[in-house]
Amino acid sequence: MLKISIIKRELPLHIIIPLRITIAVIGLLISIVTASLIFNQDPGTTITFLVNSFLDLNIFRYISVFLPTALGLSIAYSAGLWNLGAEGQIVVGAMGATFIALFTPLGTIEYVGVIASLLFAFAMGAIWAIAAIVLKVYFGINEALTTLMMNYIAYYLVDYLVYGPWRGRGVYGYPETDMIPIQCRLQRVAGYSFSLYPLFTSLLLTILVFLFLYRTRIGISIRALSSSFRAVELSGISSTKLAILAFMLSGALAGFAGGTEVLVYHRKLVPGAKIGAGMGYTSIMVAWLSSLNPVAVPLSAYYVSSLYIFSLAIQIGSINVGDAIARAVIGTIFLLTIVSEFIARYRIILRFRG
Amino acid sequence: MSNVIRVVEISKRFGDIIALDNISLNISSGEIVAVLGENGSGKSTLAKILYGLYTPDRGYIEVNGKQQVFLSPADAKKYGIVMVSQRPQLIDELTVLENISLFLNKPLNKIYNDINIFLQEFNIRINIASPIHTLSYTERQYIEMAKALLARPRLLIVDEATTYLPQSMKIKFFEMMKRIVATNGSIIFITHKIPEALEFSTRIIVLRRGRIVGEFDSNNISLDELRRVMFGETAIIQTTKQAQDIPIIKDAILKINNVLVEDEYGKKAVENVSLDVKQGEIVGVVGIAGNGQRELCETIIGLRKVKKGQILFEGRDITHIPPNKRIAIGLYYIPEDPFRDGVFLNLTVAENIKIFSQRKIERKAFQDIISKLNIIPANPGVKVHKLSGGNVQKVVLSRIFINIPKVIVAYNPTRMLDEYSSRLVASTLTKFASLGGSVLLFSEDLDEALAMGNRIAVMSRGKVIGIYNYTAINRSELEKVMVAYA
Amino acid sequence: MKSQYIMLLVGLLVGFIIGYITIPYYIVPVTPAITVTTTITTTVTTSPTPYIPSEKVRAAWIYVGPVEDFGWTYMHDVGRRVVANLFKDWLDTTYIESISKEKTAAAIDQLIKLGYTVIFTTSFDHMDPTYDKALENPNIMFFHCSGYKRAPNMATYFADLYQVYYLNGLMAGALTKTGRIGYIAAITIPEVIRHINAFAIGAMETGRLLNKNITVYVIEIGEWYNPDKARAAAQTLIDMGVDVIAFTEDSTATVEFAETMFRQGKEVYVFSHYSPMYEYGPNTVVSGQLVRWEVIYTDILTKVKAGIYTPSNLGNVDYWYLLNTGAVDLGAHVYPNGTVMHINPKFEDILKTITVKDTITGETVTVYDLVMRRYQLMKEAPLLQPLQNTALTHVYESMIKVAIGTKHIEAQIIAAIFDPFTGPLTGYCIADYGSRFCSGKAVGALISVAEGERLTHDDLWKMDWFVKGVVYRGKM
Repeated sequence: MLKISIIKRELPLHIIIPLRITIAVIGLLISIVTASLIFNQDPGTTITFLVNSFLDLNIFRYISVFLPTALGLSIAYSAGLWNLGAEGQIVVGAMGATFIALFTPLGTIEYVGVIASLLFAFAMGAIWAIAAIVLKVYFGINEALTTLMMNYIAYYLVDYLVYGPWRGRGVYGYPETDMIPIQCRLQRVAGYSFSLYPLFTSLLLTILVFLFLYRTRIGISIRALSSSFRAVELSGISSTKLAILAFMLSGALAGFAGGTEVLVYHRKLVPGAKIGAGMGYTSIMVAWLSSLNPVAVPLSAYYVSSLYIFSLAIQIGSINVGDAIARAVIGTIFLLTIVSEFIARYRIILRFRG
Repeated sequence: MSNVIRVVEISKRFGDIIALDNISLNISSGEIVAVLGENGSGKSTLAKILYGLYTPDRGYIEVNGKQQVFLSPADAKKYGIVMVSQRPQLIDELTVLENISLFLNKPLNKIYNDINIFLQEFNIRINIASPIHTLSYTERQYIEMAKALLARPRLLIVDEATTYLPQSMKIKFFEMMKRIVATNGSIIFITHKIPEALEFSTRIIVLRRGRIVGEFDSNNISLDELRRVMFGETAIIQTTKQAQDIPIIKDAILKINNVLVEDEYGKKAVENVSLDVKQGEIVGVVGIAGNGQRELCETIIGLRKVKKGQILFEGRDITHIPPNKRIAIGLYYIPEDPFRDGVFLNLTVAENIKIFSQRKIERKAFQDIISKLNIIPANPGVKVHKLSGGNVQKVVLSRIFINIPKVIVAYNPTRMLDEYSSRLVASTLTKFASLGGSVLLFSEDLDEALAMGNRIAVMSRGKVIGIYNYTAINRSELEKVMVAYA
Repeated sequence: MKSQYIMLLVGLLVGFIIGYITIPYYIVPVTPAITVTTTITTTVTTSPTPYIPSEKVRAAWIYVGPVEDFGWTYMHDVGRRVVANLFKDWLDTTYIESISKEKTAAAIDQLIKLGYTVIFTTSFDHMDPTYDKALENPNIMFFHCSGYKRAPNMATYFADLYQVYYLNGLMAGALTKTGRIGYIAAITIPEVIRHINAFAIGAMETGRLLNKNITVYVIEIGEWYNPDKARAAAQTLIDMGVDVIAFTEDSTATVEFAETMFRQGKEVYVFSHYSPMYEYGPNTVVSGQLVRWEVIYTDILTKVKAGIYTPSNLGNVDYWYLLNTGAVDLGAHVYPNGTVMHINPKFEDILKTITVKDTITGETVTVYDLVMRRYQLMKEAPLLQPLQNTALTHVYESMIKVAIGTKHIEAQIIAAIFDPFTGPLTGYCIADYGSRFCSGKAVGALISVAEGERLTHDDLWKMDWFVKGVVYRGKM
């Protein structure tokens, strides 16, 4: 009889990182080759597509959303708080940025418009997150559920605006606002759909979030929340305030991502589901792939973004497997990535018994 | 005597820490082997390996001459190995009966009588239909022992489990151990208390920093000799006699007025308690476990709501302010269960200290505190979950060194500590009092309360039934008072 | 230790980005004509290389939904398959499905990288990213369906169904017993509004002739594809006493729902939408709207191949194809030989038993004949099609005829001599999309179109009012 046992193990960081990357890469190759053979494709071509996807600059278009959002989520998750509302926070962030850009005089002032829009996006995301955490800390209502529901409220709120009072004059009745003023649009890198400014801001935020969570007392206390609210309270820090702060930052960063989507990509407000487009949910995975370490978030955002591009690439031309299969392949790859994390943390022992 | 179990050349590392280094050990049937060592010496790691909670990096365990790998406690249990540990391993939501049934893997009705007989034999009054989370720590530990003994183990590992028990319970427990030995079972008895090891074991193994540094016949070794082997060259801090010479003239800094507190089910847990602690004074609160001490303590630090009455701190009403604000004004807490309320296991020692510190703290200060408290391993970057129970409690203690407390509320603070460390705590608290600080010491150890307290308050059924000056009462009188009204 | 990792990471990322971006391959220098005069008086003149159509055309389609949706995307892909097989000697096609707005730009970049030079984007959601990409890639030709933004290398195209809806409305008005007719609308943008209005105009025309009091109830579902909501809306309409339903939603849900009702003994008639859905409801589908994107795709791709369309002359290319072009048709089923079943034979027989007076000729005809006559009238407009190809000529589309004054031929017909959107019409504003009728007016303001006045292309594109008799029953 075969007996399988799983043992937790602890490896030093300098072994875990290369190990996980190696396992992820091997898993990637296995799934690609298998999928290629099943769909009668040349594995070499598929792998070329894969490599190209990882080198494609357009991944920054997704990184600029995933990085800040997942960074924010990692703050909330470090505190043991379930913010599943990044999607909604992105959407209200976009709404906030549009409001400043389109409906206030600030929008037409160079630089000021951009900064004000993004600051307001930060604020809107934070406000959206606060609603859920206040219900949690004062009324004990599960934050995972409320944040999830707030996503739909965000969708409907933005839908109401673009179908109603904010519907543009020059859009032939389509549910969207007019374009935001040119002064408020962020310059894209020629030939691509991302802008460098939010990207660098996000990288800067990565460092700031790391220093905050690992070097400051408040940040360390936020991480401590996941152990015990009571123990934090008994260390002389208000656990309520910490939880609210963690959620606020989490929401603010998602709101920022939403704001940049408007300023860089859409340049107008469109219905909620088209802004978030599920990226808020994908960011949850990005955050966990990084093991909630802010420094690793750029890596995992890069990885997930590359696979986004890859799912487009394998639909085109000689391969053309269709969207459903492309998604299935990507799903398998993510599964293997999680397995790689598992292998890095646990040892599997096989034993035969007579 | 045959070798029941052999531990062969076992080593275990946690990251950079070597917990066990090439340990070999034979346990014969009918034997009680004490494993003695200070906090962090690797005792618990050894126990966990024997019980299948950890797998060794190197080495193996041999049962009846066959090499075995225990990958889980279930594996160990198959070979009749059972453990009772420092912390009760029970499922909070389930009842006593259900927990035991789960552990023994026997239907509820079949064990119902066995449990009741067991509890009667030990004179323990617990309703076995009540869920675990309604029980106190001591009560939970009783259930742990019932669980283990009903399993009729071939090898019972007792990992510091007796340390926290009242003396009367301890003796009964040792009697039970001897019964196992009589039926050819064997026992590994892990402790940091030298007298216990001497009294109850047949053989003593001393561990220090993951290595066996001595093996003795219990009849041929003295306490002092053992102490020297156990602590090496570490000097034992002499407990300074408390500073009762300083006349306590100041007003009460902490005043509790007619406090009424209810438990989770709306029953009165603390009733009409009035107590005050003056500056420079240590007030001990004693009583049989479960008589409202825990609730009173939690009320004072702000974890429980006051139904009636008032708590004053330096004349200020703090009855309704949250714990963090009480700490900010100087009311500190050292909990009974550091794992739950005292530290953050997923953070490093340095990070824990940083959280505790009310002001900015410098990098080199971490190392100072660690060496002052003798935290092992002495590495601020190590995560707290890798530390042994005693060292975890030392991390908790660090908060009173880096801040300036005015009153310390301590709940059984020395329970998990070895002799060296508990003396350190005791001396820290007495020194703190001698410098004008105040301590409210909840303790189930009467000797400790008597040695440290200026006044002793006795609690029974949620009420304070007497407050005595330490000079006016001795241990046996105290015990009488405690029992009389219980 | 940790800070070293951060610095390493940041360094790597920054280096990567800077390195990648400074590679100047994406910069397409716009070289103006430069004259360099040297001492030996040699003059070198460079100018932009003229556009030469390539031997092979590589065309790609971006779809908003999956090709199996059996609605909008399905019919675009049918169009693609037609041209791919027809022009297989020189045309290479591919597609990417399920591309939402946020993915569009990346999808276009991928296609360009793989060498596709003609890109069709088939959803309004794709408009802004397509426009942005068009400006960035001046050598690629973009054709966008259903939008209003154009560039020198970005054209727009659309095949509109309002005339077909009108014909279906005629049948609905003849068939209803309760006089209550339902319409499940995706989103009330002008396109859908004019479909609702055309359908209602048709229904009320036959209703009036048959002395029925017709009301068209509209439920909006807020999405282009949502079978569940469509079903729920159909149920709500039936509960209101509706017995004929038309819809604008990209699934077969409504048809299947009606068929289920039929099997349970309740007769509800439906009109299939976009794709031939007859097979899903042989007992309940009366007729429907069909689209043939291949008509437009064939036209575009032959012109690309011939060098007529170049990346610099698409700024005014704007297809607006109606019944006359064949890009849309009346029907619910395509026979294996390719011909269209205009009306379900079951209902053909019924419609042949109902007689009305044709208001144009004054003759008494069956409703079937009335529908087919109107169909023919709108089909035959030979001068219209050239006008429907460019943005500049849409203004002439509503001209019924042009007088030329020659002896034997005094005038030539331009637009179809019949169009449902011809006055007198009365209605009320439901929004303000900037039409000449409702601009600046409050919701509910009454409007009227004078007798004989034909609505123009611009009127249709900004339609923000319902004709009298249409009742909006809310959004789901």
